[in-house]
Amino acid sequence: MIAVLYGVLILTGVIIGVTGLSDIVLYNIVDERLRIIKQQLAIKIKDPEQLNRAVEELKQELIRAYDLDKPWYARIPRIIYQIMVLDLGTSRSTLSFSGSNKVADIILERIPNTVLMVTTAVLISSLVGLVVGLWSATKVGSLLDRFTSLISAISYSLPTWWFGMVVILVFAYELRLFPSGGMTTPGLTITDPITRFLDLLWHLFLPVLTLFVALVGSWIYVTRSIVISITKEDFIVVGRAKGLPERVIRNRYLLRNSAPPILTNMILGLAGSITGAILTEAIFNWPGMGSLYYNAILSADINMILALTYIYTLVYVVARFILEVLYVVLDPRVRY
Amino acid sequence: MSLLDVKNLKIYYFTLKGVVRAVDDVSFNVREGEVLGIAGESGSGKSTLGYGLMRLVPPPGRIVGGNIVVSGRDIVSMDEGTLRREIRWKVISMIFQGALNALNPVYTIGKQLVEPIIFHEDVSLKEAYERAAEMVKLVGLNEDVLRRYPHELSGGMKQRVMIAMALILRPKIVIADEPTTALDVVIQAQIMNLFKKIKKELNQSIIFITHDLSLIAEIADNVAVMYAGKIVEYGNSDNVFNTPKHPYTQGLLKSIPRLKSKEKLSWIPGTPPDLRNPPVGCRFHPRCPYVMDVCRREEPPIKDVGGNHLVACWLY
Repeated sequence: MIAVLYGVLILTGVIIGVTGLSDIVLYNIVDERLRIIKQQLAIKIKDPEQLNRAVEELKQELIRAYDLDKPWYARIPRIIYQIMVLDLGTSRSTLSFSGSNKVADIILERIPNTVLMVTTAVLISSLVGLVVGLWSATKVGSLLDRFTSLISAISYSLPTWWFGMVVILVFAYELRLFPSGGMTTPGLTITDPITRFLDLLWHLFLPVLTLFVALVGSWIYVTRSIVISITKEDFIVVGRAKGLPERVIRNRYLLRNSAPPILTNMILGLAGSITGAILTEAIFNWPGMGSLYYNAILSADINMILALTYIYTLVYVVARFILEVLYVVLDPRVRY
Repeated sequence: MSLLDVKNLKIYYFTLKGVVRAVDDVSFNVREGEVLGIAGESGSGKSTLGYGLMRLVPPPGRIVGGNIVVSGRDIVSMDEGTLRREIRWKVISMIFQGALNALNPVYTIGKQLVEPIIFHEDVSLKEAYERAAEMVKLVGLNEDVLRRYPHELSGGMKQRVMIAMALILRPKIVIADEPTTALDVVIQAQIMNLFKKIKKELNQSIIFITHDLSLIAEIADNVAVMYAGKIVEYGNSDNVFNTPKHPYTQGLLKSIPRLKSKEKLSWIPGTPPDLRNPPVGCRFHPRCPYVMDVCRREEPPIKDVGGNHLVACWLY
C-alpha cells in the first residue's frame, strides 16, 4: 500500500518531468519575472548594454534558483520529497479564500465543501441503492425488479453534466426554485447561523440531486448482483433445508455473506467522494476539490497537481487500510 | 406401514424452451431403517427427486403432481410454514452434493450445528452444544471442530460435519445426494464406512442418491434405477444386482470394470434423451439392444417379476 502511495506520486512526477511540462512552466515563470524586473531596472540603468548584462545575470540567478540548470530528474525528486513529508509547497495559480497561496491551506479549505456536497450525495445514493438493490434481489424476475433494473440502467447511463444542465434549466431558470450555482447567496448579510445553514442547504439541493440521480443506479445494480450471486450459493439451500425461518436465512446467510463486497464498494465510494466530482462541481460552480484539480491541470500548476495526486492516493490507501481491518472482523477466512 | 411413501410424483421444470419432465410418475417407499439407493446417470432426475422430497426444487421447477407421505402426512399439499417448522430437518434432512460449499463460511461449525436445534426444539444453548459435540464425535471428528470455521476443514471433514448436521435432530429420513462425489477415493471409502455405521448403530433410514452403482451395492437394501425421469427397475438390491432385468440396468452393470472377470467392458450406446421432448413409448428404446415394435409405441407399465422386483420393460 505504501508502495502504491509513493509509486503514484513518483510516476506523476516522472510524467511531468519527461514530457517537459515542468521545464516549459518554469521557463515561463522565469521569463515573466524577468520582464517585470527588466521594466524596473530600465528606470535605473540607462545604458542598454549594461541593462542587458544585468538582466542576463538575473536570469542565470533565477534559473539556478528554480534548479533549471539541472535536469528534471534532479529537480522533481526534491518536490516529491517535500510532498511526502506533507510540505505541500505553494500554488502558483490559486489563492485560498483567505488569501493564502499555500497548497495545504487551499486544500483544507476545499475539503469540507466537497464533503458537504459529494460525500452527502454518495452516502444518500449508496444507502438508497443498498435498500432498493437488496429488495430487488429478493424478487428477481418480478415486474418491480425489472422496473428497478430499467431505472438503474437509465441512471447509470445518464451523463452528469447533461443532467446537471437540465436540472439547472428546469429548477433554476424556469421554476426559479433553486439557485443555479455557488455555495451561498452573494451579498447575504444576515449572520444568523440558522439562516446561513438553510441558505447552504438551498444551494446544496440541486448538485446533490444531480449526483444522486447519476450514482444511485450503479449502487442498485451492484448491490443487486452481489446479493443474487450469494443467493445461488449452496449454503443458502442448506439453510432452507434446515427449516430456518426466512428472516434468519436473509440475515445470517444472505446479508452476512454479502456484506464484505458491498462494504468494499461503499467505503471506496465514500473515500473517493472526498476527491470531488469534477463535472458536477464545475457545472454548479461549487468550490470543491474536483474543480481545484481541474484548474490546477488547466494552469499547469505543478505543485498543486502533485500535491492533489498525493492527497487522492493517500485517501485511497487509508480507505483500503480501513477495509483490510474490517475484513478481519467480517470474514473469518481473512487472517493475518 | 412404511415411513415414506412416494406416489406418482411429478416434478417439471418450466423453462422458456419447454417443459422438462425431470421426475415423471415416480413411486417408491422407504421402511424404517431401510437404505434405498437411487441410481442413474446425470440428468436422470435423481437429484431433482431428492430436492423434491424436501420440497426444495429450485425455480422454475415445480412439483406438479403426486404425493409424498411421511409418517402419514402429505408434504406436497402442506403449507410452507408447517413444512418448515415440522418437517424440514426434523423429519427429513439432507446431505448435499457439494459439501464444500454447503456450510456457511462466516460462522463456526458449532454455531451451524446448533442452529437447527435452537429453531426446532426448546433447548438451552448449552444443551444444544453438548448434543452437537456428541454428534461430532459420532461422525468421527474431534470435539474442537465446533470452534472452527468451514475453511479450516478438509473436504472429508466438511462432509462429516454435514452428516453430523443432517443427523442432529435425529430425523426419520436422511437424503444423501451424491455425498461422496466431490471426495477422493480414500476419503470416499471412509465416508461410506461412516454411512454403514450410522445405518447399523442408529437404524437410520437413508435415501442414497448416486450415479455410482458400486456404492449402492455396498450399502443399500433396495435399489431404484432411474432413467430419463422414470424408475425403470426397483427392488431388493441382491435381486437387482444379481439378476438385472431391465436392459438399461444390465448395460450399467456391464460397464463397471471388474478385476477377476475376463468379460469385455461394454457400454450403452447413445446419450440420455432430452427431457423436454422424450421419445414416445419406452424412453430407453432408442438405445435398447432388444427394442421391439411395442417399445416405440407404448410406455411399458411397471411390473412385478417376482419377489418384489419391479421392472418397466416390455420384455417381461
